[in-house]
Amino acid sequence: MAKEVSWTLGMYMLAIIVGVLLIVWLFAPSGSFPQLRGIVSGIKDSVSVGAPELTAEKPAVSEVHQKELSALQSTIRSMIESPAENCFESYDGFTKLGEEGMKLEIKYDSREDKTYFDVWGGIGGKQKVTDSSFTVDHVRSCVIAGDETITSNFDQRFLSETDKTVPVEYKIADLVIAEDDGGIFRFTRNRIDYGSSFQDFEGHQWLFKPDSGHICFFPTVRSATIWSCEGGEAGGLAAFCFDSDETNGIPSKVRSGNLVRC
Amino acid sequence: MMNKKSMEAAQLVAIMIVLVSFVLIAGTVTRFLAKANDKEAEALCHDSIALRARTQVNIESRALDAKIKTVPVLCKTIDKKITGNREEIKQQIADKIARCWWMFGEGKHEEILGNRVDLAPALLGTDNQPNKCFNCYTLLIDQDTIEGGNTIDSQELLRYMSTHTIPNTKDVTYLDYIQSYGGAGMLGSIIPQGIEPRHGYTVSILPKNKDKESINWVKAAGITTMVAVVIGTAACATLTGGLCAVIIAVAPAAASVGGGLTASGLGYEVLHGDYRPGPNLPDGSTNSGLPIEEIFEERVFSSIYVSDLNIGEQFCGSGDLAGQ
Repeated sequence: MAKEVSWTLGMYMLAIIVGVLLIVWLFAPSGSFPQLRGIVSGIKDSVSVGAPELTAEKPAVSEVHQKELSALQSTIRSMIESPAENCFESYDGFTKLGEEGMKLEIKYDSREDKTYFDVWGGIGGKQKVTDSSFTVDHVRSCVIAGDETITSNFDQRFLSETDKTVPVEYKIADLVIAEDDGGIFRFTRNRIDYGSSFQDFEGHQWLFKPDSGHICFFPTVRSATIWSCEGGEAGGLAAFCFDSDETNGIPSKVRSGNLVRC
Repeated sequence: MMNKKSMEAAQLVAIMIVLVSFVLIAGTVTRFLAKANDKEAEALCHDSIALRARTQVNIESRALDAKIKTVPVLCKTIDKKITGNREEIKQQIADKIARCWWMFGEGKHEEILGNRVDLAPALLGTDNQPNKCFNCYTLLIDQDTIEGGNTIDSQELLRYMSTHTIPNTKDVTYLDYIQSYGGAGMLGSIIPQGIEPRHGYTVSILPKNKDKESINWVKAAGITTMVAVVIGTAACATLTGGLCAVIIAVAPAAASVGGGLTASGLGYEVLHGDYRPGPNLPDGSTNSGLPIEEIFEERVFSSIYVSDLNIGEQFCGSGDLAGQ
């Protein structure tokens, strides 16, 4: 029995001595096996424990976009406060929003009788930017688009002025303003979606108030058959209607006083 | 005789009182235990996730790049019935979303449900999740009506979460908590009909699982096709004149394939996580042609989704991961 115990003890001692010698050989400055020591050190350097912690900042839009949003907000508020109807107002519009940059969603909530201007941005453009979002009470968004009659009437009444008695029509819609690639043979740029798909938005600097309950935006169209400011296309007014030197365009007509500012 | 009858009646009353008391007490105790079990399950899940992150073994060498989780996920899907008025329903759903976000590390960990090198997914209880996402809760709106309109749509829920603060915190709204309190996060919803009475929903966690947007090869192919067609047509017309008529006639069709691919490369609803199904798409694809799988598949940061029960259960893992 005593012999067995001392033999086991001896084996343990031997194992410990061998272990100590191995460590000394490996890790002492003048130790043996430098190559093996290098490999072991390499493994030690390439292995770590614990997942890195990710951090985040509150989502925000760029300073430029924030200025543009503020301009939109104050312009809409001043238009609502004005007693004028069938009036126009301009704001800065939006510079390039970016593929995964800022996006503006304009949605009416019938329960609260309020329109929400929700701003999306942050990482991948998928986070709501609460500090930049705002609401407007008792007003709905609309577009001068969506039907040929709408743009045709608008043209006759305000632009070509061929019939100033036609009724002012507009399409009430929730809107999304974002950068969009536009599909085939078209440039990526800011566009507006008023229900079906993104449309050109070259009238982005102008707003129209047909009555006290609505503020309209201007989607636009460009095609090979349109060479001047005109209505009649369901997609919106011709983009020329927003050129500053176009005689029948909104900027010229507002400058000359033919169209009323709010 | 009379005494015996009255004694029997008294005994019957006593037995009935005992039975009723038993039912009442048992109900109360069961409810208490169920609540305690849910709290314990949430705490256990949270702790296992935290430990899993802290004990992750990272190997970065020329031969191997691996992140190995050594601790199993001890989480289970918790079934909850929700009742109350409109505000109470929104609050309970918001609470569950925030609780799920808390359990899974507040967006601070990436790939927390999987391993970059899958050594033993079955052993670690994550092998049954098709997209490495997990349903923290299934919620049943256990009443016949919701006051003030029978539906709570995704916008209303989002607005509640962006304007209401989490109980026992000072200024942290539910939305801020998800988006930026820990790591970056996104709140999304796949509830086309909104929250309705007698319907079931899931609250699913989708941890970050890739570093940045990979190249959209479909879109890239579309652009390449368009460019090739334009250059080819121009060169051909310059060099051979009228012989290119056939090619020029075919070009728009080919280009439109490219353009179509380009247009479908980016889904509108994925930009903000709000899924809007088209009216005739029972196969699960979205109105922009983007399948739901893609929403769940690759995430550049962690996100949390409220979905219809069938969608949540189809695309994310459910059940007791510890009991696998």
